[in-house]
Amino acid sequence: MKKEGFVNVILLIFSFFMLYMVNQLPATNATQELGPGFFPKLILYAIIAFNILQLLILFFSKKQDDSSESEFRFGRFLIMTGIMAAYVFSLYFIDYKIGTFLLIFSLMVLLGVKSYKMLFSVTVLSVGAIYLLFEIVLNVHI
Amino acid sequence: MEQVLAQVLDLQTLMLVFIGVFLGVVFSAIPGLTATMGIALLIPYTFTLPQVPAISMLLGIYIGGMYGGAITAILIRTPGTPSAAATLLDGYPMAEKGQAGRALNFATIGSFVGGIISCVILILIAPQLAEFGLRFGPPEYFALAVFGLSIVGTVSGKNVVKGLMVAALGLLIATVGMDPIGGVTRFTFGSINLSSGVAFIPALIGLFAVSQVIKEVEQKVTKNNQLKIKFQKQSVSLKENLSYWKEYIRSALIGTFVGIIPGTGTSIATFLSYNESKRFAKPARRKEYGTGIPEGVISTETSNNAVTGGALIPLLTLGIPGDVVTAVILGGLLIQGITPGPLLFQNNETLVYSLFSTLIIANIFMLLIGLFAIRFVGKIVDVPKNILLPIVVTLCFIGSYSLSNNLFDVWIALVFGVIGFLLEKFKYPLPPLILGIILGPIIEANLRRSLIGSSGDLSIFATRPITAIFLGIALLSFIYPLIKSLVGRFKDNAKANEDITTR
Amino acid sequence: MKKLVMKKLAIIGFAAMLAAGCSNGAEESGSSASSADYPERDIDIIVPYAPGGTTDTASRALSSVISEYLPNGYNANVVNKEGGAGVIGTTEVFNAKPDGYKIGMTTVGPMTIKPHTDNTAYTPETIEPIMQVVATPNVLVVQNDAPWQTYEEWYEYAESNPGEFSYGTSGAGLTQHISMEAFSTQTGVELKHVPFEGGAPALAALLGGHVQGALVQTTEAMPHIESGNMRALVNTGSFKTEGLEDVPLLSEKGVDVASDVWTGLIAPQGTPQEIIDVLHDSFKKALEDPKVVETFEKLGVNPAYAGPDEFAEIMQKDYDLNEEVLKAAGIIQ
Repeated sequence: MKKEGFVNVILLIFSFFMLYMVNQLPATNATQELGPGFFPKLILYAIIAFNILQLLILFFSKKQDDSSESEFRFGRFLIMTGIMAAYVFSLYFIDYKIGTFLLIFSLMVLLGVKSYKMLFSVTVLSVGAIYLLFEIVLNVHI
Repeated sequence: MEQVLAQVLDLQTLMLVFIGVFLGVVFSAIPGLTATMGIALLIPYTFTLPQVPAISMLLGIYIGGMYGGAITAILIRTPGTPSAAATLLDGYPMAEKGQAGRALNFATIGSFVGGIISCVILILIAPQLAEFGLRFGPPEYFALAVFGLSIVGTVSGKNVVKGLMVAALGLLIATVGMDPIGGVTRFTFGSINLSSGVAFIPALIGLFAVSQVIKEVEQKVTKNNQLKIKFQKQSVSLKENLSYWKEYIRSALIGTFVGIIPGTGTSIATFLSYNESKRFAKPARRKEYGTGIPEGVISTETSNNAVTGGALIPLLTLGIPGDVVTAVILGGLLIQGITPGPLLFQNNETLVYSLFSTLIIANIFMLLIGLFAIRFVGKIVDVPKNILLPIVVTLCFIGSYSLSNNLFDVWIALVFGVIGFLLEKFKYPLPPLILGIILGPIIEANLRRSLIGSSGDLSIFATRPITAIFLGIALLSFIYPLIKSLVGRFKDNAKANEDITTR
Repeated sequence: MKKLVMKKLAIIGFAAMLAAGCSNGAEESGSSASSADYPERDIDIIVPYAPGGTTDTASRALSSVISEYLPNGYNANVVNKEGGAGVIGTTEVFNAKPDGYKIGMTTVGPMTIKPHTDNTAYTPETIEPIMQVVATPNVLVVQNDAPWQTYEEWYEYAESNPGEFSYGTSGAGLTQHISMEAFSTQTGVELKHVPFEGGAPALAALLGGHVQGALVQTTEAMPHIESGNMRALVNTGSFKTEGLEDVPLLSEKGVDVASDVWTGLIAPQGTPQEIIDVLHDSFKKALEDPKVVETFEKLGVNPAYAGPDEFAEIMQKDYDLNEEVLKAAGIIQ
């Protein structure tokens, strides 16, 4: 089995967990015909069925699915997600202008921008533009 | 008539329409700002204006707001509005191929044609059509939404099973929050932020824009990406445009039709129109949908602007707003002392025709602004990606926040960015997820409403003609590609039938 | 998000480029807010709904004139914080610093219904009412060709055909739904509830004949009543509105149901009394401003002033009633 199957296994586990959650919902009210749990349950059954189908397809298709796909650089993905999560988290505590500055700066470094002049000017300009547009013009206070 | 012209061609009115259209384009192009917000924010300023200029300005924002989303969807894969979600299916690939200028041109002209055609329909046969819209009861909405869901086959790429799975996930995401019939909260895990469901626009921004940035970072785009695209002023000749006349007309009609039915919305119109465009295409051409072809952009952009004329039909003739934007416009009309409804057409014909004329003028302004803007906004693609992407992602986050001043929405954008990235990484298509999220609430609420109405009798889905037809087509569209795909796969993918390709 | 010391640091850091736009950086100093010279800067009014709704438009109408009435000529900015059917914005007000610079508009739903169903952080007892601004009763409308001319005829039909009459509302668990549930529990008449996503879709469904009646706010129903498409049978609120004087109240017909959809201003608990007084006096004057009166009239909104004490009573009354009905209807335990 290819590693792609893991996705389906995870989705299956998730679906069963959600099925458990659905069963915690209150029962049907007499005049409502279908209760709040009906539709989610229907969808979950569908997801489970499609997952099993997909696993079967993976299992039976002999041909290697074109493995031209680039490998998953998990490290870079984690760093990227981590930076963004840290940014959103920082919005609760520090002023967004500092956070935004750091976010743009670090992402540009991550994307291989080396020139310091570039790094600083772009970052400062974007923070300034965002401040002007959202805070001054649109009165959005983050 | 003279009176109408005097009112409409007044300099102040023209200025305000122009400003309205301009603001609409800007508001919808920036992720996180919407035309609805623009209208709502401007309503207080219209308090003091006379009727026609005030309403003209609001209509201008409405028209401009339908179009602006296309710009960012095409250039940076960031749909500023839900109505532009389908535009990026072919719009962004076109930009990637270096045809951003062409894509923007088609989008602009499509929006103009769609807007004008729907206006004409509005002017000519509004009252009759409004009656038709009212025939849509819960069973019809249910059927239409299920029919909309059957598009999954069209937008899910090679593996239909994966597409269906993603669509189902979208439907599941849409069930988060308050149950539409009983008012019970579901899957909120105790969070008040989730009790009205997953905010749609942040999710949309996350899925397409944030995920794109994650992808580029993961693959470490550096130098090689800077050279490829160079924006060229590619104007599209009239002749080439005329060669797509069928696309324009069909999409405009679909958009108007969906607009007439209150409560459906532009995103459904665009996906339906995209689907029909593909259905009517020649088999050879059909494979190219999703790889960046003009038809994809034309069909979506024409239909979303065609919704404007359509949605104004129930609003003006019955006083029923079809979506959030028109509801806000209704508020603006009321403040001006105009009560939409059958009486409006009898008692205040001058006003009605002034509004119609401004609509046409607004569409012309939109065309001019669009064609003018293309000349320089297209240059965005020239900015090296490693500078552009960090800015895009920031704009996505700040924009998500500004939608309802809630940090939770920023988390939504981030989480959906990760989901979108992972799905694409494992070759699951994204558009079905959007379809599921859009259509889920309509399907569930109307299924349950129908059954309340019929006291649990399922036969209403077969005995009402509109319902039965839509459900019938939907069923066929579901089963056919699924079987085709399965047969193809189990036959050891002898000739992996690439009927359907989408990114 | 808090404008702490960091903000100042940030301002210094960005001073060069932001020099032009720093006007509101200066507002920070000394927020010890001795209530004597309140307000010292602009006030934020949190509106818990998206821009464009009645609550939002009413708030914006008030804020457009409030600077004339607030001491020192400061302004009030409307900040929309939608979500959770109004709970998110209301919670934000509840959690705000009680210094009078962040107050909120709230409505009957998030204040008196959601605390029962959604386990909110606040209750009507843990916020400071400033004043009630707007109140709108609900009316039961039917199509004009419906067989029932009067409330009595309709009642007779509904009573003899249990579970047959279907009515649309703007959503599950809202005032309209609760009023009808209360009606059902008191009279024993069974009705079929079909919730929609707002008043307009409910009215559209009624026009198309997909439901037999709709219980909506008078403001939403008026255009359709005026055009002759619909007929109002009964008013479930506590007062009659202009143009609907001959529609009976439910309470006049011996059913003890009288709930309006109201909107009011609230402040966080612990706000000094002097500040509440300043806010109350200024907003009361704003509510009487001719421009605001005119806007409200055009919107079809009824200004319904009630002072802090009376407003607190209204809130508490609805809060208790809703609990009772929600329990009786089996929506909460």
